[in-house]
Amino acid sequence: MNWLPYSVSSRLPRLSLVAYMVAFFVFLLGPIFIVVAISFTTTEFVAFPPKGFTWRWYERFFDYEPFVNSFIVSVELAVATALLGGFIGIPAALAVVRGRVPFADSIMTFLLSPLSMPLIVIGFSLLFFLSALGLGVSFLSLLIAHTVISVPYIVRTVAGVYRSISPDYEETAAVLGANRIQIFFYITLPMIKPGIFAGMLFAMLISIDNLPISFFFGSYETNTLPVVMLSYLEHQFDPSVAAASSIQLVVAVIGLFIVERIYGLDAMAPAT
Amino acid sequence: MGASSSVGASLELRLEGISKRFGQVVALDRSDLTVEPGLLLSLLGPSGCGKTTTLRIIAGFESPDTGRVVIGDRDVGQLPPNKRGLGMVFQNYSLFPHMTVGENIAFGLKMARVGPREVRSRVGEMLDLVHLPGFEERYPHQLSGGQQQRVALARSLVTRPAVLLLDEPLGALDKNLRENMQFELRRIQRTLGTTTILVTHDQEEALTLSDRVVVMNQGKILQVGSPNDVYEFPHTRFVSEFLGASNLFEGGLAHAGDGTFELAVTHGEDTTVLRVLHDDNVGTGEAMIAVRPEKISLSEEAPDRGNVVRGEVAGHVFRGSYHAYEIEVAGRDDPVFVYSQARSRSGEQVFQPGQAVHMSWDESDSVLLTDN
Ligand SMILES: Nc1ncnc2c1ncn2[C@@H]1O[C@H](COP(=O)(O)OP(=O)(O)OP(=O)(O)O)[C@@H](O)[C@H]1O
Ligand SMILES: [Mg+2]
Repeated sequence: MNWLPYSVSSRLPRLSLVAYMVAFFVFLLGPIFIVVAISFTTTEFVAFPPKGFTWRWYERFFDYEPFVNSFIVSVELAVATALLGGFIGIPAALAVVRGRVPFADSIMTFLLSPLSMPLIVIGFSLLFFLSALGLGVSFLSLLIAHTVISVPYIVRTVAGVYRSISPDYEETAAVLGANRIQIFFYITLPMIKPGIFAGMLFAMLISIDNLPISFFFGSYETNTLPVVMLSYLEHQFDPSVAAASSIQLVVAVIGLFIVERIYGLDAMAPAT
Repeated sequence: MGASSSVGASLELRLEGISKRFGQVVALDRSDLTVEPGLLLSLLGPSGCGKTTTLRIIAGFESPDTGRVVIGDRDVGQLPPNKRGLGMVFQNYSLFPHMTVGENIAFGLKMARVGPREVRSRVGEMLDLVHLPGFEERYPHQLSGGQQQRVALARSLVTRPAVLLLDEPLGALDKNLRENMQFELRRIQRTLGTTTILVTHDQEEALTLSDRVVVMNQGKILQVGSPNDVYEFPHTRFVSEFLGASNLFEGGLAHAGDGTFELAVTHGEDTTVLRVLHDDNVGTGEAMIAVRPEKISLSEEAPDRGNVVRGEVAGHVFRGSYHAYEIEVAGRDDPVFVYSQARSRSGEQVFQPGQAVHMSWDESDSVLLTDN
């Protein structure tokens, strides 16, 4: 009766992998595919399968001012978030990995803690807090809020790359006469660049994608694309939202593609 | 032109009473050490004995709990690593992967703000010296292990450091390449005359490469001397055994006058008297002498001079250039190892297991281990 445990042990994982793949295609890629398909329908309402083919809903997207404005806000916010997050996250990551910092592990856990907090809680409490500080609903508040949730991604990727680099390189440079600043710019920075780049791109994606936090800071000037899309959906159900989704999707896919090329997506997996 | 213009002023390096603890671990215990200008000294010892710590203290990456580091006649204790004017090569070379070979070697010169023309000529000079001319444009990952090693060496020497620190620089190379690089390293070091400290735990490497060998154990410097000195005249059992196979005899020591001592060794019923030369007047009592396996001769008949111990061949292997024997001595726990040179094919006597033999050696060929 040898074959039974053998075949179970070899088939079960394979079966569950197949099941997972099927579920992945049906429930994730399927709807995405449907949304993209719908965005080209010639009907006035969301219809699947789409009828005919038209760019009309994309034109509508670019004609409808709130979509365009919020898209610009989203992109500006994403870039600003990545830059501010990098400014805060990179030195923090370097210090935690190699600075002689007491309790480095605890600090790291602390820096990563926003990852495990419900976004809606962060958004709600930040709204109160920033209002109390007099910032209220503004681009700056939005930027602070998005930076709070993006910094962990930057810290994580930068720290990951930095940790994998032997301190010997920096020490070698020191013996060769480089001071701390020279070591950072000539040795450390070039070597951790992939991590910085990937972390900042991820921060951008997180920011562009975010709804629960952006929602709290919404105003005419500070609405992000996801917020506008949601409120649009409350009143109308034409395929332009599908077009907006597809545009966002393209942005995200390009971003992920770049991250994959320079850094490898595997390394990001635990962060999500 | 040529390598001569790369010769830096070689300076003396002195460690005075250096101690270093990491928590409970004593990595270095009040160590003193002097490296004369231009010499190559190797730090030899088992893993964890404090070799790397010593280098890191010299380089300024660790600060000692006590003691001073003096280069030339300057106490460098307060200087950061980038101000000490040293060269260092790590075991994995740590060539900067994002720079070409040329940029790697030029790095130290750039930090010292040397002009581009001089940089170019000095980089070329160093590449010639390490036998890699024209490699400037390559990247480290395009080099073999031995070539990376040479580039790392060139990079550390191009700045004409006062002292060169090498932490197991050949440890990552395979055996053949390693022996090759030992000669290369020696040639380059001689050419430039740079005071050098080499860390190794390979005793053969230490003996072949160095002007001075320092044997360390558990944070202590046990003995300093020429390779010949530490090999032939170890002061302690540890040094004797660490530098190669060694036979130890224990017994009661008595002064026999005129720099000669007698050790009464008891093997079961028998007591054998072994004579050993020693200059200082050491006390009497329990003592130990050490004899290297290649110093012992085997014969069937008892020789009429020297120290003689009787035994029986327990094992024999032929190792190409010599025969290795294990000789059992009645009443003694460990076998005695004897290496006898393989001579011409005729006329050589090979002893067979089970055969009774006499082991003998000259009284000047054994050494009294004094501080244990
Ligand atoms: N940064 C450190 N923190 C704590 N302990 C350390 C540190 N550096 C070295 N030690 C300890 O100090 C002792 C000496 O270490 P060292 O690295 O000098 O040994 P080594 O002779 O170079 O050994 P190896 O041949 O294995 O490289 C060891 O017990 C080591 O564990
Ligand atoms: Mg070491």
